[in-house]
Amino acid sequence: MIEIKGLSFAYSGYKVLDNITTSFGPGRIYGLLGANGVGKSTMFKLLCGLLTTKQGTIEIDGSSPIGRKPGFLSKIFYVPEDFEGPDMSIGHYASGVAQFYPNYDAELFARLLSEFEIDAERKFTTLSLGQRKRAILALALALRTEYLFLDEPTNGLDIPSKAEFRKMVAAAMDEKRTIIISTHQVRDVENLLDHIMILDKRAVLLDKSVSDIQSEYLFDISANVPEDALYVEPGLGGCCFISNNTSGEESRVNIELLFNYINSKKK
Amino acid sequence: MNEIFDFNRFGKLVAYECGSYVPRFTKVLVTMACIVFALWITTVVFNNTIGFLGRKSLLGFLFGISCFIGPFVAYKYMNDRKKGYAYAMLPASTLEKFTSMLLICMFVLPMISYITLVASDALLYLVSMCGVGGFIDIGVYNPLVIYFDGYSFSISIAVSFMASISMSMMFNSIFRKSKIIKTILVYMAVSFVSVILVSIIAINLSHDILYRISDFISDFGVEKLMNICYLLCIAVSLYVTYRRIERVNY
Repeated sequence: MIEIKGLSFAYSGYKVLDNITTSFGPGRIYGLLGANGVGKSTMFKLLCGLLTTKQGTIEIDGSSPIGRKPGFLSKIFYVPEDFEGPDMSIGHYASGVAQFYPNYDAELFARLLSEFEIDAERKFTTLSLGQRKRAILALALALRTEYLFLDEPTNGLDIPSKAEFRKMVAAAMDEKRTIIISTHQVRDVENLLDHIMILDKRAVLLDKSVSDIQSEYLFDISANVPEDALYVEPGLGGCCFISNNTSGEESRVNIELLFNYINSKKK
Repeated sequence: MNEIFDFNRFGKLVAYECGSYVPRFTKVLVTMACIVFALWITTVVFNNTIGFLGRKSLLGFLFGISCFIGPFVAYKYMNDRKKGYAYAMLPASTLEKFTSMLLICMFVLPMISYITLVASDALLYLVSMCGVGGFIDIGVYNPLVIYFDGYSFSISIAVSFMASISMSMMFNSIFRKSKIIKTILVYMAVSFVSVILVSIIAINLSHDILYRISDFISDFGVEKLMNICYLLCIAVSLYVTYRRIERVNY
């Protein structure tokens, strides 16, 4: 369980996170959304202990990330947005790193690499961004850490890889794991997420499970927009809109529309 | 789980770092061997001879350079904002990471440099038998070797090398970019300020006090005083390095 209380953070006086309080429970895939610069990557770095909290507290299973203790680090893995990789082969890097993670599954890693069509003998420095991303995602999933933080995981992935990624994340999920995905490519992860959190500098704008969102709002597309629509966006096949779900009907959450609606409410 | 020091985890870390970081040093080793080879070429081309002193000075100089740059090369990315996160997030304690770094920078890298230099020199001697008068060694890290010209192992030299390495470790952990250049600039600035300060003090102090200071240094022993300074440098550098490994932000 990740618990964040009153978290604030600033880079050289420029406030990025301000008094954020939230929690992330096990067995869920969280979508961390927000405009550029609201502090999504900063939040990940704070969770990993790569940045030091100035105000507020973070606890992951009762441990603070500050000090980067080995017991804490062996439970988490973070895939940054712009992973560059060391100057060594994927296999060598993976076998070196994996020995520090007790739940590492070498067979799973080999399988994921083959599904992603990546050769373990190749050096990271000879791979494209997308290939590097696929390699580190394969390792991240095979390490089987309790907490997995993925920053823009689908950036640089081609269309088949995005589908593979969704399949792999869904397969890797169990009731003990917590996966947090930060992304702007919401369509890539739309069907994966159990919980959506929309972050803003000043507050958490939305922190709800997908099922709660579905029971609260109705997402639809139609040429005739109902009068009670909360938010409308013109689209190709008509207008996409959000309305209050008064009928109890379940609709597929359009995360992009939801994000824009929540942000428009803020304005 | 032992959060401070676990021998099993430490062993894995040393093996991992030796396999991952030490190979970055290969280019330095190749360059050093090439310089030794170039020296031999000059003796062939210009039909010169080069004595022990010349060879030993070159090997000693190259060894010193390799010790100085070793930590910068092997742990180049430890505090890099993009690449350094992998080092920080490796599940090992700060003490284990620090001890592993110390072991690699203080012993593994100098030992590899030493072997490369002596082996290159010995190989050229064996191959050419030209312009050289026998095997030599640098004499800092192997007190057991019998020296051809009576160059004895000195604690002072070893301590000064250790001070240089520990300061390189410290500056490597402090600076994120252009690490070697910034470190050289710091050394130059410190030397410049020290000379100015000593000059100001010397000008303003009476001859009597200066003589007393000089007598005190002579009585105490210049080498002993130097060793104390080196040991202080080592202690401060290692402490700062430890704290940086523990606290550096990315």
